[in-house]
Amino acid sequence: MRIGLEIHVQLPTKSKLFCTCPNLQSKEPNSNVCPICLGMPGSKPMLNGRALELAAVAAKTLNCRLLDRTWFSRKTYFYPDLAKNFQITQFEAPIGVDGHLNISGRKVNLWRIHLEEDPARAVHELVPDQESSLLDYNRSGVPLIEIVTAPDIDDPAHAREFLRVMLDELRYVGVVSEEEEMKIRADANISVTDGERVEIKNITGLKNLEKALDFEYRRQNKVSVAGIEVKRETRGFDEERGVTTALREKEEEKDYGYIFEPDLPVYDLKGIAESIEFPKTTSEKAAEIEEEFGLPSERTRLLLLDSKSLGDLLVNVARKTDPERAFRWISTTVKAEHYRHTEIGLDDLADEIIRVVDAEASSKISDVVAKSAIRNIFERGDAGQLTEMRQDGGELEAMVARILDNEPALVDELKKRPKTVNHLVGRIIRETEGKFDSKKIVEVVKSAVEKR
Amino acid sequence: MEIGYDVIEKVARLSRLRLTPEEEKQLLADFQEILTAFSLIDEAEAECDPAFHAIEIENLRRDDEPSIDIPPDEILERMRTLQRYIRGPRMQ
Amino acid sequence: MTTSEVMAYISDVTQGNLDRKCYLERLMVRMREQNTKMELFSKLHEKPQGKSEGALAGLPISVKDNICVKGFPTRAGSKILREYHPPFDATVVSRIRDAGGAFVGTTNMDEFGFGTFSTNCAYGLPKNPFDTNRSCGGSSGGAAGATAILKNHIAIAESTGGSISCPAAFCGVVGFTPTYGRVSRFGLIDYANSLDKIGVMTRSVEDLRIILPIISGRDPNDMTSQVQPPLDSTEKEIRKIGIPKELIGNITDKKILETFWQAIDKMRQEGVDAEEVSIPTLEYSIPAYYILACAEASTNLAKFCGMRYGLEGQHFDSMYNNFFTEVRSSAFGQEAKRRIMLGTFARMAGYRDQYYMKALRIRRKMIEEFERAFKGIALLASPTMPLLPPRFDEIEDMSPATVYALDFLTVPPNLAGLPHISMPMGYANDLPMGIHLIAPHWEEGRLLSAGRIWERKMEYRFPMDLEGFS
Repeated sequence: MRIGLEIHVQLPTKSKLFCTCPNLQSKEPNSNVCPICLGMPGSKPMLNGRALELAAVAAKTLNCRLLDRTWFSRKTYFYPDLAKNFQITQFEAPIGVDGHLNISGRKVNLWRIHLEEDPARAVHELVPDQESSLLDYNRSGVPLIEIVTAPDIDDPAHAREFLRVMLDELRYVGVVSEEEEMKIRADANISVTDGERVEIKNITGLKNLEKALDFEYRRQNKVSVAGIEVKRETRGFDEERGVTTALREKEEEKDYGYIFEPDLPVYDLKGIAESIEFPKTTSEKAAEIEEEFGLPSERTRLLLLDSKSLGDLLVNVARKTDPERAFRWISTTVKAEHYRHTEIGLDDLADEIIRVVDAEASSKISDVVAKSAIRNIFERGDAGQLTEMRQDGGELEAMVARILDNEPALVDELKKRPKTVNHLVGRIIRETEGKFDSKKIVEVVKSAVEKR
Repeated sequence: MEIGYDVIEKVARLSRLRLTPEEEKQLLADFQEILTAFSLIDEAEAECDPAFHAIEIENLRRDDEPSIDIPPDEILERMRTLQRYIRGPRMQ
Repeated sequence: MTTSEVMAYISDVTQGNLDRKCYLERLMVRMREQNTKMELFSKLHEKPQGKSEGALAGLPISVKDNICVKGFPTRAGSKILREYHPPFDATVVSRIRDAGGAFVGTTNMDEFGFGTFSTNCAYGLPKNPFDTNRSCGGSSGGAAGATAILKNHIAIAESTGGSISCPAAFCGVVGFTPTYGRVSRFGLIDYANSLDKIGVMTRSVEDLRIILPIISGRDPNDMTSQVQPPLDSTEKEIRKIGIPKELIGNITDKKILETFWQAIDKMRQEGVDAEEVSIPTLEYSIPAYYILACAEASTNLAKFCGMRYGLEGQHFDSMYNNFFTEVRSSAFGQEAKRRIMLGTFARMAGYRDQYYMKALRIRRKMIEEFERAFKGIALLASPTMPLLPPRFDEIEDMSPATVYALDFLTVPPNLAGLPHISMPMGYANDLPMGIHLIAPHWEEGRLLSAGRIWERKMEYRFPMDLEGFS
């Protein structure tokens, strides 16, 4: 099976691509519109410089080569959601070409990345007489980057993973917002065992992408098993039913008749790129972290792909205490709490987190106390009292012995089903209020049980 | 350059124009006459880059500052709308 | 004639010697009367006002029907924009308003600029004031005709391939087309964006010095207007004029040639030398121009499909493709359809390299050859049009290719974006003929200086002098 994707991502600019209308989600239709994005005669496009920058950043992040000179083209076709009946896009001079992404050791090549404007949104449900379609031009003119992959994707799960990693990479450098990730649109080209290529248009979101590809794979297999040739066609994806459907035969031929967009300049992208401050990609940052702290970059990169702010926190904390422990705590408990309390900025909590990690790293407190201290930081803003850890194992051994002496049934249980040691450990943690390191407790209990 | 009705019909479809048989006949004749005259450019030697504009226009960009200069309601006033959506022909 | 009557009018208004409102009221009555016969105007304003101060105080200004005037019918001579009232002013219109100019109405034109005779207009057939059986020229026919009959007036017009020069020559007025990018196109209903230029028609070159500084200048709303150097109208020395042999060699009309050489002689008497130059790529200017212009136009006109604006009372009675096709087929004129199809063809896969891309390369080559030709030469010259204003019945018999070929004198500077001027150079059988001068990019000053010299030697004739005095 070979899959290629064409992905459309909206850029997080403040204004639209060719006009100053706000780039905002608005409940009221046609409230962020002007003569330019409504395609009124006499209006002229004006390129948003920030969109060009973000597109260049996206291209670089995805390992593309930036073109020296880039410009815009008119793609002419007739559709009610297209304000001018042509879309300003890029044809022969896209921002970047020949990129790639490595997904779990498998490389996916990217043919090109370019900038273009989003069409309007059509709504079909409201009209009582079904006579017309209804258009909301708030979306018309929003900046998009289109990313086209080679057909290097092997299966639906790979496609989903590819998209996940690509979005993480782009989010890390600020090209994609978190809200955007859910609305991302893709067209997929899929062919099974060298058969004809089927295009599935307009799939929204990662889950739907995987579902659509799964369904299409099974459909194509069924068709060829029945001895019928798979037809080369364009299909849509019905989210509700989870199936791909044949689109009505469009009699119009696809000849977009591209011309240079004469209302806009040519761009010396090479020169412009020299003045762009390209944000570090996850790989670059992970390499830096490895250089400074010795932490293996494949592990830290996963953390960065998850969240840039966790990565920044890691650097901050690792500078002030043990980097290994810093990584351990930030990639587990801190991360979990961060997602439970997304409104709280990590910068404000850094000092307290450093205090806790440092105490645990220097064995002043147990891991148990560290964990609850971190919870406190997120809930109350401070770690609270940090109960000191007891090193002396004698007290612990005595306590364990006392428990096991008094509960012989428990001993049998522990011998028969060793996993139940966790219950006992949890009980002892509670009773000792975290004075002992949990690993030490497990050790002591296990050896006590063995002795009996 | 030989142009047939098939080209005229394709171009008319791409242009969203419906031609009467007389119009088609006339346009075919026009195209043939015009393209014959224009075939002159085939012999023009022009190895240079295309000139997208007559003057050099490069690099102009606008700041990413949102603003609305004309109240959208003024623009929508003369349009056919339903609950603020703009009406258009059926798409399904 | 070196004094500017327009200047005197404006001065009278600002000094309070002239009752602007009265003048305009009377003028409109007379213009309405004339227009029923002459059809120079698409729509006349009910009550032009203007202001009592400003560089254009109270001066009647007409605007070609493809330049947006807020709230006023702006229809580019086409049925498909029959009910279009723009929600904004074109930049040139707001600059003129700010300067106190009095907008009097929109002038008739070939639909979207498609034409050489203004015979493709949905809102009237403008008649040549010198002979009402003859064409005003096109596509800015109404603007030229209005300038020929109105005293104390300036027409704002537009040129893509010669739409200012041609009607100026046919109507015996001064037609000025600035460098591409000199005047903001924001608010101009596009024909071909890389070729369209807003310009003016006046009764004398001196009037240009009043209007050009107002309409020129960078506009943030039009990126192509932002690379211009400042307009320089200081006096320039005009020592030598070049006459391209590829242009003069293709003219057969004896009267036009005779008058042109006489004009060159007159300039020689004023110390301006003339010699022949060669610009070989000019041979290809007509096909290169029409291919490029039609290709761009076919995309610009895609937006006209019966949605959002232009036509009111549309019933959305079919699926979008059928709906669009029906509206466009019934509302576009024949020439518009022809150019849309030619343009669509020229950029279609399989033809795009041979036509569209080739035309773009020819443009660059031509610009380079013009640059070489201007070495040691201040201006290039030729007659403006190869024929006298034709009769309407003569035009009906012309095939499209024949008509296109008549633009061979005006198309080259338009394709190359060079500023140019047409001025009356004489009269044959009481019909005007124009002389065409071309300058390098941004050198409008040279045209103004040459024009000043020319107007020392030439007295213009106007068929009428409509004004608002009692």
